[in-house]
Amino acid sequence: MDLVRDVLDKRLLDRDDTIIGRVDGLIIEVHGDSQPRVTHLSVGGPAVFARIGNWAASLAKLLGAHWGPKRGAPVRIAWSDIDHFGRNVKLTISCEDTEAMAWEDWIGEHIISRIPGGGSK
Amino acid sequence: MKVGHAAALVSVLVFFAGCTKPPSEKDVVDSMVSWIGTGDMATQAWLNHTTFDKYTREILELSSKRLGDQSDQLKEVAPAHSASLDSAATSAKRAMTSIARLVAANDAPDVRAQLDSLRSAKKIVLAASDSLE
Amino acid sequence: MKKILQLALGLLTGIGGFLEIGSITTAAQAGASFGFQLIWAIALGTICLGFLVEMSGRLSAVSKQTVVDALRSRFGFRFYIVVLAIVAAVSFLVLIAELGGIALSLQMLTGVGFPWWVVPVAFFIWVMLWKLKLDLVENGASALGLVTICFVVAAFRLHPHWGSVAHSFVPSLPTDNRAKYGFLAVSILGASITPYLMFFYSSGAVEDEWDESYIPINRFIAGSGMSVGGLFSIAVLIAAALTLRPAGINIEKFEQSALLLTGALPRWGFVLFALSLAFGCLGAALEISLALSYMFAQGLGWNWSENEPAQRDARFSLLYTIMIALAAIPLLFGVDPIQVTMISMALTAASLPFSIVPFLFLMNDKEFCGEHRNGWVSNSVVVIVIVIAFVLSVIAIPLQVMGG
Repeated sequence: MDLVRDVLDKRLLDRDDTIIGRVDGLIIEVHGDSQPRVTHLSVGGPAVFARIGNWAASLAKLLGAHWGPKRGAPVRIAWSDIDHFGRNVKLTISCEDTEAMAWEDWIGEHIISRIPGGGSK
Repeated sequence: MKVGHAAALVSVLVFFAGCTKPPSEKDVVDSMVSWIGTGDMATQAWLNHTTFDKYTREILELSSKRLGDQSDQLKEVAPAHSASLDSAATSAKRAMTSIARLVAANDAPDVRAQLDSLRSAKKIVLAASDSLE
Repeated sequence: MKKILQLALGLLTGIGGFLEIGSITTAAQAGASFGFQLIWAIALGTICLGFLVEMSGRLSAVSKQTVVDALRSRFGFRFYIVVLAIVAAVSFLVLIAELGGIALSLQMLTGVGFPWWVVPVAFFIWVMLWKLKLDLVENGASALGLVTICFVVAAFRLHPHWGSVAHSFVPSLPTDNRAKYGFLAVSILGASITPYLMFFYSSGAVEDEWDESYIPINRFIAGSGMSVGGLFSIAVLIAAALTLRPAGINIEKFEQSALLLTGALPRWGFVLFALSLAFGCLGAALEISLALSYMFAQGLGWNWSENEPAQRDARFSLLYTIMIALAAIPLLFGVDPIQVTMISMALTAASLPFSIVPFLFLMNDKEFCGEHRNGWVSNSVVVIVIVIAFVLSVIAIPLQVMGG
């Protein structure tokens, strides 16, 4: 399969079809002489900013240190958690199992829920 | 990086916006016609009870101010222009200022009288514009 | 039954949501300065917009993706971010202009200066998006926008010489003032061909779960909705050509265009103009705020449904909240909405190749559109108009800017 055409930039859906992000990067491991192997997909955060430029990555790091959810490492999804590929990349896990929605939840909790009427339409 | 290009393009445009060349005599006189026409139309609309007092007053004051600006500009770009054009502009400006005041007083007959003098001034400015074709 | 309703609502949006500050201002200026001569530019821009809207609906019906989704999937992140930056910057300028348009119309109606209206107007728009569902927002604004039909009534009451009107569908050059003529042609094209509308329309198609059976309806909505909308713009131009032009008025300040209907519709013309401007700009401001948020949310893989409570798509809701607030700031400092309008319309025209060309690639891609790919007619029409708009803008914008 063509990783760049079929995986990179595709939308990620969890087990329950919640949109949890896009495939912003691929993490490839090289062990000695064996074939390089894709082990993880990376989602959001540093992977995205790094693709804009180094300045954007540093800026994001600086802001992230003061604001938002404090998550340790960038969000990674193991290759083995992928259910199938198609128009979207469908996962076997739920969004609760990853930290991909940390920002959505943080903004919802710290900003949106403090504005009247954010919880209903 | 291409975002940088776009930003550069915008700053170039803004830069050009800063250094505009002076308008020609024809441009200035046309603008005078335009502002007198605006005052004329706004007054007529007020007499027809179409526009509100506040708006009518404001647009007449604006037209009168703009006409004054254009007359000053005319002195710069064409110092040799005719004296009749000057006096027509002055009387149009005066008429629009009075109409603005009379609208506040809801004095329709006097507004009509001022409108007539505005229109005769307009004829002179229009003739000046046509002669510059 | 559901489809008939959607057809009716689609037409409503096309017609009631067509006129806004850009199309009204550019058409009024064109009519006041050049009579009927620039009608061809409105016709050309509207035809192109109709084709583009039809394409974005078709893309979404076939691929079940929005235009932005497809752009990112097909061209990758770096490309998407460039297109996003250009289209978002231009659309944001248009949002400022639309907010200003609503505030100006309230100034006309109440006499209270427009900067005082900016905050209440921005707040009102935000509350509509925050609390109401997409259909209600869109259809409500479009229904109010039907008041713009008064321009058509005015155009008929002025008894234009229809032969000259028809003749002006063929482009021609004026004898003098060519720089201004070119700039107005560019602005008209920019006011008609609005990329944000494609993003908005395709997001609506995905939210309404269109499939291939919607292709004929989509074609009808795009074709007739946009043509009728274009006729409204032409009506504005005709009214300006027959009332402002004979009085020698060249629109330099917004207040002058408020006189547009006072000749043809004595008694109600002034109020109707103000209401048309208010409701037209309201619909556009709502669409642009959403389209801006869609552009970010869809490309970055966030939740983006306008039908969900704000809490469910927190990033999406936060984004339009910030956009609306930021757009209000320059107006509070008294920036002239008409200048913003003219600049943003011209920049829209100049930026069209960046937003439309990648989209055309998608429309010819088997992976996204399958057997419903573009034919040569659609491709040629759009390419020709975009090239005209771009070439004209490269020539006319610097000329206009340097010539004052």
